[in-house]
Amino acid sequence: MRTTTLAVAALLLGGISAGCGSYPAPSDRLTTTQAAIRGAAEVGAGQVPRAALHLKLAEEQTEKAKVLMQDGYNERAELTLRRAQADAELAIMISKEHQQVEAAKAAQEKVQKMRAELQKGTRK
Amino acid sequence: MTAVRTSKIAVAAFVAAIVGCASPVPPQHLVDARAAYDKGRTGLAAQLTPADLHTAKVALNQAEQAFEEDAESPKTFALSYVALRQAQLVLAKANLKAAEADVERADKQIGELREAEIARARGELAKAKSILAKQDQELAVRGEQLAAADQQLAATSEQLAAERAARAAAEAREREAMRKLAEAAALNVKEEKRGTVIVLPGNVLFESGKYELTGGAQQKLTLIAGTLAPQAENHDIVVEGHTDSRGTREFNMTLSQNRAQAVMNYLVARGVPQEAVTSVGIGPDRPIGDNSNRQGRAENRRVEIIVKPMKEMKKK
Repeated sequence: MRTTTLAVAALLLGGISAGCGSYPAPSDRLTTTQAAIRGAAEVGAGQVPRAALHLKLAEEQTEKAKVLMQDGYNERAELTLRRAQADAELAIMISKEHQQVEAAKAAQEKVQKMRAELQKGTRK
Repeated sequence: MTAVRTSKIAVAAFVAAIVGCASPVPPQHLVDARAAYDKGRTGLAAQLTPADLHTAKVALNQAEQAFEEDAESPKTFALSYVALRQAQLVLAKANLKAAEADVERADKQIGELREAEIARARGELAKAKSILAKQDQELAVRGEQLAAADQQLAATSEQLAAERAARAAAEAREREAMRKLAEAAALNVKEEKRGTVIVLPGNVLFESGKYELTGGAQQKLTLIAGTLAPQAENHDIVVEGHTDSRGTREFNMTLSQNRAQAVMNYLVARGVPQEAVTSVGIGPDRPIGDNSNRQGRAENRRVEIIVKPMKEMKKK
């Protein structure tokens, strides 16, 4: 069954005539995924627990994909990288979300504080 | 997770084996992806991040398609996984957008509050300024009052000094006039405590026992009137008649009174203001010579014109 799927995927994705495991190495996706992982680290995904989980998954899956590529399982490597990329991008988004939510909280706290001070000042 | 999945697949295979041609069980990731996508579609994501929602939809469709083609292929598994992550990303992004809107709203409120604070501070400043201005005004008014009082004081002391000087000058002038009079009319002029006293011997003025002025007397009195008239404004003048002790006291009193009055009338006739002059008869009561001899008695028979010390100057 795996062989069939592989063949179908290979035909669909690459249009490779041979159909016997000569799936192209997903080097571009590896690069893209690694860039996304670096991006996630840069936006501080490591410090936000929910984002850190997905960053870790992205890293693990990327390592797994590299091994698969070395062993010649390019199609499985491609699929693994797609998962890794999705995790890395989610990690970035969760980090940003977290920061923005914190910023919103801080801004709202500031509003409350200023409001209280203004009332105090007006009551004088 | 892999173990769970394997067991699920095993269960699915088992169920399929029993039922025969039952529909395949979707992988858990696909189930979760559908739920997450639905949550996004029905929630804030539809408005806040429609493009990402669409991307998630595409990913979900790909996963569904792969599932239809082969429920258990690695591709189905991977695409379901990706679809789930995309749907989760949409939810995260919707939260992000909502938080951005919150920040924007809060920033706007901060701006408004800052302006309100500034307006309040301005109001207080204006209030303080108006209080200060009022105090300044009060101080200025008080300052003006003080300056006016100072000026008045200065004017008053200047006036006093001027009056003092004028008085001193007048006194000097009068002394000089008296000195000249004494010289010109050969008169006996004395400075006494009661004033300047001009002593006129009785025999110069009147014939014995009478009180009509002689020609010589009139001449002298004309000179005296000329000197006294300008001084009458500042001095009271008293004309005193005196006699010796011979004869009755009553006679002497009357005579001295008449003689003083005659002198006074003449002075008034010659320009000395009536209101400045009074006359009095002293009779024999204030002798200046010895009534026991002739010379003394002659000295006692006399008329004295007393120019009293200068009156206090009238305040203007």
